[in-house]
Amino acid sequence: MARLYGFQKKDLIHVYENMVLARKLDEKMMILLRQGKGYFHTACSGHEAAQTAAAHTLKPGKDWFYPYYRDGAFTTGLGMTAKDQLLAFFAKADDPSSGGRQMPHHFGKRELNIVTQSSPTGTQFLQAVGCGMACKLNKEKEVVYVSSGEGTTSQGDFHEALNWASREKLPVIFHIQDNEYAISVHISEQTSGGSVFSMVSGYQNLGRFDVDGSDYFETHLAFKKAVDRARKGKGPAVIVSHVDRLKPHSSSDDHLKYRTKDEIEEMEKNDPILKFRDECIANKVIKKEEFEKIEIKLKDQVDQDADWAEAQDHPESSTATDHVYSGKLPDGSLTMKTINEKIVIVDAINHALAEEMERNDKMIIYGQDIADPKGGVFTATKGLTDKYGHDRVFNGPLAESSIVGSAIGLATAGYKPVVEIQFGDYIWTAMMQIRNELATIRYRSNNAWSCPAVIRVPVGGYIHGGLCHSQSIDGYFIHMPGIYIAYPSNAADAKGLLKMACRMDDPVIFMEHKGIYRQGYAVSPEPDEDYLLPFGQANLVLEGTDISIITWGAMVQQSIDAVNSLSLDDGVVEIIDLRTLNPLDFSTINKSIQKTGKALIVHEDNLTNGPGAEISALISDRCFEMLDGPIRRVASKDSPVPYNMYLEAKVLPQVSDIEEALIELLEY
Amino acid sequence: MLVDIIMPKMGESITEGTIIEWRKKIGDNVKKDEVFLEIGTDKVDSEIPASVSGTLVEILAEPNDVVDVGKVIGRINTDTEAAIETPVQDQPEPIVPKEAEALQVEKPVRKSTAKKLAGKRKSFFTPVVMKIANEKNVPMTELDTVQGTGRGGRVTKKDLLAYLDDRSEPVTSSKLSMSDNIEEMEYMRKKIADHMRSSLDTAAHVHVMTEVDMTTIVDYVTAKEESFSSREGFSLTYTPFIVTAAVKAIQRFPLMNCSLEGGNIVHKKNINIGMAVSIENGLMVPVIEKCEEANFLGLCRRVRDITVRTRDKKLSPDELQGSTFSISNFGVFNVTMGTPIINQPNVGILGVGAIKKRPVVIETEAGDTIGIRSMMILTLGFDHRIIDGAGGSQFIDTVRKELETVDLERLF
Repeated sequence: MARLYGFQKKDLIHVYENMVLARKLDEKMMILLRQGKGYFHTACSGHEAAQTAAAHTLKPGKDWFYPYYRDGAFTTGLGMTAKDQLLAFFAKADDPSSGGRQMPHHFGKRELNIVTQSSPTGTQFLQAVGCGMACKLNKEKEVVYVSSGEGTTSQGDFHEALNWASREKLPVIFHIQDNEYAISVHISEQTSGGSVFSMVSGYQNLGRFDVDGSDYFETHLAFKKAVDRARKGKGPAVIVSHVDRLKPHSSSDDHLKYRTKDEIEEMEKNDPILKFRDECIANKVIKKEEFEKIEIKLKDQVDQDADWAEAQDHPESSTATDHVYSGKLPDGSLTMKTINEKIVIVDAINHALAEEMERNDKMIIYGQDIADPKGGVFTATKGLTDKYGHDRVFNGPLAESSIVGSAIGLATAGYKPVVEIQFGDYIWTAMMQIRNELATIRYRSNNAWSCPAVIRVPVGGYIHGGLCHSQSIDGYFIHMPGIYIAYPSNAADAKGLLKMACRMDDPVIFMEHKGIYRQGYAVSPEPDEDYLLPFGQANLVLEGTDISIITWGAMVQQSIDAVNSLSLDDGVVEIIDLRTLNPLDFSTINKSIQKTGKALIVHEDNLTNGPGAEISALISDRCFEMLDGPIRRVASKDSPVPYNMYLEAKVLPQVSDIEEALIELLEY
Repeated sequence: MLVDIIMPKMGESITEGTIIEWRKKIGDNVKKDEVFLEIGTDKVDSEIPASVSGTLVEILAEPNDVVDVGKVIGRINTDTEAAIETPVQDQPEPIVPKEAEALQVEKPVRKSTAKKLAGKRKSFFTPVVMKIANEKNVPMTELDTVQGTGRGGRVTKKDLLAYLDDRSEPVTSSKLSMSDNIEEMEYMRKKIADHMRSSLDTAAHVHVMTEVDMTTIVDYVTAKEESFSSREGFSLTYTPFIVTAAVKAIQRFPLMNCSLEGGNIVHKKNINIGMAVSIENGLMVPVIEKCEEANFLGLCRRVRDITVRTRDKKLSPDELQGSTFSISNFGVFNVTMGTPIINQPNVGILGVGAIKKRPVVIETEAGDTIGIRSMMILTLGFDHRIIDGAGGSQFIDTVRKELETVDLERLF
């Protein structure tokens, strides 16, 4: 039978049907939008050939996919149906991408391994890299596809991703769909040399392809080569497919503002669907009428599917906040067998990591300097590479976004990454990944996907660290729903909580106060490997009847010191060590204030909008009638932390500040 | 300029020194680095050189005085010209003894923090204190009397709880036996209980009594009862006579028609008489408004109407408020004399006893004789915060006079 470039007729029909389906969906959704039935649409018109070619070289359900918002034809090419896309358009309950929680074209489908996509373009690259790391460990020749427009290649994460993928020869295919416009910004204002292909030429092991994306066959060939190479472990590839963006960026954009009518008409002549059809007809493989029949059939199908989707149920409003967390907070295991008389916090952390590595062979540890022989700048991870090997315990590059982004990818693919950000002061480079990805993957995918990664991060001052080695970061992160936060004050708690974090189904930020890593007063007997502390259970350090101090981290000991130095009687001051800031054990706080009527919150983070503000508001709301005095806070001043020791002592809270506050409240 | 001479620190662990000898006296010139003083410590005796040139103008510590390190022990004036004119203090500044100094160091901290929490003092009650007060039926007036140990005299939660412990609660402390029956207070009873308690806690109650000769009125009522009752449909009683007399007395002594609000005396324009009416399981005090506008018949009818409607439970809530003076007739129960509790926010209440025939002394022109008269004892309970003994006495005597000399011809 007739073949075209090696493709049989049925294959060609299959290609054409996918492209036309995508096009009909675009047309239908724009009509529906103009009818007021939807609010947002990004068209893939002009990209169909490149996307269909890509999809047809990959294995849905086995390979992994990080498409971007314009990958309409790619996702249908993998097996998403018109109904799937339309359910998302109408934000219905059964939308497989997000259950109506995200805008349309934020693709995701668990059965096909399409990982939930978010709005920030570019965050997907490092996650694809992490997923690529998982594939490498799996050794099953899986490949990861990640795509974006050419504009997104300006994002730092893109370059971080190429660096990592190339260095480690990860099986990641970066599909850059160059349609020359990032909304209204032309590539000449975007990319060095006006060419992504040449821009990425510096990365070793990186395959590079530059193709005419409107030509199905050319693009297909490039993908086949790149995918094959990746499966063989030879490394990642960037495929730049040149396409035309026949429609504006989105339904909110009018491209006639920055492009001429003539330009657009020229583009329309290069329509990939027409090109493909004409080539098939010219080569006498398929007749024009057959194509026309397909057009009509698919238009009807899309119309029907749209009617069907519109009639489906909206999600129940009572489910609006479901899946922010997994809903599973494991119970602890509190019977403690002492295996060591004394242990400092940093060693307790080291042992916790070792025990969990032993128990879970999907646990991976990495971060800057953490590998042996250095074993971490605070020695928290010493001995682990030696024991578990470089595949599982290795150094990460000096790039926090990479560390967190890749951890998200690994976690999504079923591994348990426990990564280290060297100082809380530097976590900000990873903030986009944390805020818009780590915290939201479960929620936005309607529980289809999750990323239970653990981020360990040393925080805190009192160590002559100055502005960027002393920061407290609590306030920022408790504000973010979706991430649990632990902040132990002593070794036994650190061990119990970290082991628990490694077993939880939710992402955790594990804060470790660097100033008490080796402090004598934070020493405890070491609990055995079965000891697990549940999150959300505070510890009553001191019991008292007249005032409740609510505190955590390094401030626990300072609070004890304040009580001792004031020579207050026993049983006057109650001290609660929260242990975890999210979830917050409010029930212990409530019980305490019922008894004492007075609350003093002591934390190292600065005053304004620190966690004390939140706890204070909760107390004022839920314990109003129990209060016998104003709710007070002792915290750092609203200032960066200075280096000079006298200046530092003025900014960070001191024992004397706690004493003063205690006296004030006790006498009120 | 004056330069301080400081007790030096003669070693790491040294905290004080003893003045051994001043080698210069006041008025002497001193050169920089010249030895002018000897001090002694636990460790060593030392000669002290001056830090500046000038005149020694002040000596603040004498030989054998023990002074803390860092304290000022004298002063040198570097202004040599002014040295002669600089007056020497007659009284050297005393060195504050060590304990006091230690206290001084602490106190500023406490004082400054006291200012920070300054706000309403004694009258500020925190949420938990108000909650407990509510739960334990402690009215504001009583709460105001609780001793506070908090800052500025604030009543703390502990203070209130301690007060409640001390307050005697005979009902709760009595031993229950098999036959005791616990009955929770009904709403009205509770309200009456609260009001009575609160009234006693608020007003300074004083009672004065007088005997009233009601014979004329008694005879009149007996004579007119049939014709009145057939005309009006209800009996003529003594009450309207008493109300009329009270109203007249109030018009002469308007202070009895006032109310004390905070520090202000509120003079009420209308005379609204609260009539205590006994009902099943309790007591109500409905109000007859604007009695000054009513004539005698009007009062008869209004008294009757209010009594009937009270017993039939047909009063509107307005009618239980707004009294300016009250009358309580316990004479109907055959009681001769009583000490009624003021109906807040009034300042006076008239208690009416039973009319009883008694032998009394009658003064005539021909001399004193004994006669039988219908006598009634009136008690005026009044608030001594605003009305004095004289005022109260005059008032009740006016009521008596009005009753004894009522113009029966002009009643109707």
